[in-house]
Amino acid sequence: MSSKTQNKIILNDRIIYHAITSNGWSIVIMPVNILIDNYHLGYPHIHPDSENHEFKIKIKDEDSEKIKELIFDYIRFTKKFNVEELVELIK
Amino acid sequence: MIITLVKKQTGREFIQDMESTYKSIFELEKTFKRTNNMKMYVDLENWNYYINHLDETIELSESLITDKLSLSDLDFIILSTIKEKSPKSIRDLAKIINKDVGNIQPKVKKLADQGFIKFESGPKNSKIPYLTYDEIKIEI
Repeated sequence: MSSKTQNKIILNDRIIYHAITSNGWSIVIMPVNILIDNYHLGYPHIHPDSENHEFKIKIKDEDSEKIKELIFDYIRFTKKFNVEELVELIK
Repeated sequence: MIITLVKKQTGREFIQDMESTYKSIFELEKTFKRTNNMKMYVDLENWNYYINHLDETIELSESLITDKLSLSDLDFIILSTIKEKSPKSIRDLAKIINKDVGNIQPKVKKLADQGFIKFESGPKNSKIPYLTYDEIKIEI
């Protein structure tokens, strides 16, 4: 039996959800409603616009732990959340 | 300070949690389509995954980054007593650790508000405290 993980991080007024299964991984940032995952396409991508789920931007890193750390630091040290800035940081 | 609460659950238990949150996978699908909530999208993906992997083990963790949280010696005694002695009520907990129930009640409520413990209903309207997680990690 393999072990899967689900991690919830409460930081400032944001929550980061990180889940890993054999099908892939996902990171959701709430309440800004941003999804980063590698489901379905087989490569990691960000959905920067929750109203348009089909719009995706490919990101360079495969390692979801590393991406989570980048997001964590961004939220921890940046007062105002800006999705374009986040995309630049991880793409 | 980073406080991480860790527990293990099976895919089956994950689905039970999802059912108590969303009632059914169809309800979740419907609500996701209406709201575009990405957390729901991921819950849906994971629910569909664990339907076919009921016995898989999931490590669940919840981290809270705060400078406000303070845990006293008594808080740790309360947490370890709940874990090791499984008291049947708050009164029982107070008796085990030799404290007045009036002093213990607000401490237990604070720990519940912070997410460390939960209650289930016991006989005669008593509340049975239990730990929501198997491990508590504190990083400074």
